[in-house]
Amino acid sequence: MSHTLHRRGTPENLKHDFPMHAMPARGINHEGAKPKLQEFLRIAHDHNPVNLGDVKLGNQFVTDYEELYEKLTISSTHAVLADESDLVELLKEVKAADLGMSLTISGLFDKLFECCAKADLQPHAVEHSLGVLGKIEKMPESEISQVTTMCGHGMVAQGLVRRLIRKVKQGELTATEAGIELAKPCRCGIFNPVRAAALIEEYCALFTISIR
Amino acid sequence: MRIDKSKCAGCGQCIEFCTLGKIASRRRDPKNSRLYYEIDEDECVDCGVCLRAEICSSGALFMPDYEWPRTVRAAFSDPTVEHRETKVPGRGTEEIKTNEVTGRIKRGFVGISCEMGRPSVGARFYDIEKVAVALAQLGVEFESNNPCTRLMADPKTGVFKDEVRQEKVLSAIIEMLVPIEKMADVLVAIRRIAMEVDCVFCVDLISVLEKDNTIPTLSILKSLQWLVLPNGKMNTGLGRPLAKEA
Repeated sequence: MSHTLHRRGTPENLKHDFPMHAMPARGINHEGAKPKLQEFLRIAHDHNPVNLGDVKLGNQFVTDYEELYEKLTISSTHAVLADESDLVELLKEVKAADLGMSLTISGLFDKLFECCAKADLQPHAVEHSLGVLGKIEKMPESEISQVTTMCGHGMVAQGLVRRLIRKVKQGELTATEAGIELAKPCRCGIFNPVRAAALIEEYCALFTISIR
Repeated sequence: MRIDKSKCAGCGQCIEFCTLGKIASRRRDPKNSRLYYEIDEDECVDCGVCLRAEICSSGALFMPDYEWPRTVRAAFSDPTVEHRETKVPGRGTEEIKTNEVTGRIKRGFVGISCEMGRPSVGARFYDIEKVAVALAQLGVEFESNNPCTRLMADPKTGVFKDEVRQEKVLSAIIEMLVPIEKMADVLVAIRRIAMEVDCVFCVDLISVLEKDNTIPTLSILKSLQWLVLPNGKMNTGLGRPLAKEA
């Protein structure tokens, strides 16, 4: 699925968000893929990821890096970077390692083209989100969707975002802690907890809470 | 998903973990006046998020041992569950992610998907069918290795199996390959049928880049006055062996 494609947001709040998938093509180069994906995970781990994961094992907030590395499956390995210079360095290193695994990255297109050029990579294809159609009035408000759409499988509940805004406003959690709580249900590890924390902080000024 | 009312403490913590929002209601047991919550199982998509959150301190939440066709709900809504009926894991295929190796989408073609129910609304298969039938009438080729296609009674018509039509899922992807010259017709049909469904859906477009990084579909989107978002996804071309160009 187009897991990381439909992240909603503004150019400003999307510019520090680079989720990625490394994976083999089933039936073509999946045999012997595990050590290659482990090497990708190691490289990603060295470039300040804000999240890592594997859908079968969970994200870095429920499964630590060592366990992820040891038990990594050959389905799809995920990482999220928040800084474009880290992304350029990761791309250079992955290219030099010549792993042969496909690597897909999401983000602002102008940044993605720029980073690929700096790493001397010729990208193959792009995927555009053509938006949401249908009964859009059934969707949560746009602020909530900016957080929930960071999990493409839709595992981050809209009610959880509201719950954590409330907890941050009440001083029970920091925005950083709320970002991590929001990242936990997204098993694959493609949720960006740092971006979520920044959004929650912003929303604390916008949302009101009622005390029962 | 179900709540055992004899165990439920009526705290309502679990409802905040519902990926679709409010599908549980608070009730009072007339026999003992105890408050409890009840999940509307017809609306629930069995994503399992509330259960995995381990938020219920009284152990009242549980997933019943559902049978076909109900089992399609978890298969399409919970990424930890594999499709027992279709034998295809996940909600879609590898699509753009490995395209430089598989060569599935070649130059001159585009990949278009309708991710029915996404985001945060869910979709019934009768609505998914409306979109699939409208697209099938244009002669599109549905991706055969996609779990949604496998639930069609006839992929040539887009008609789904009778027994799954009422089932609701968090999202299911209609995935197709389209010659670039047909892309505008397909998108116009998608825009038209969107007015007839009682759910939302995301639309995806995959384009193979030209050697100079030109995106060959942008001019078509412009002619349709279709909003192009600044963010998206890129296959960096690092997979090997590369597919042979047709």
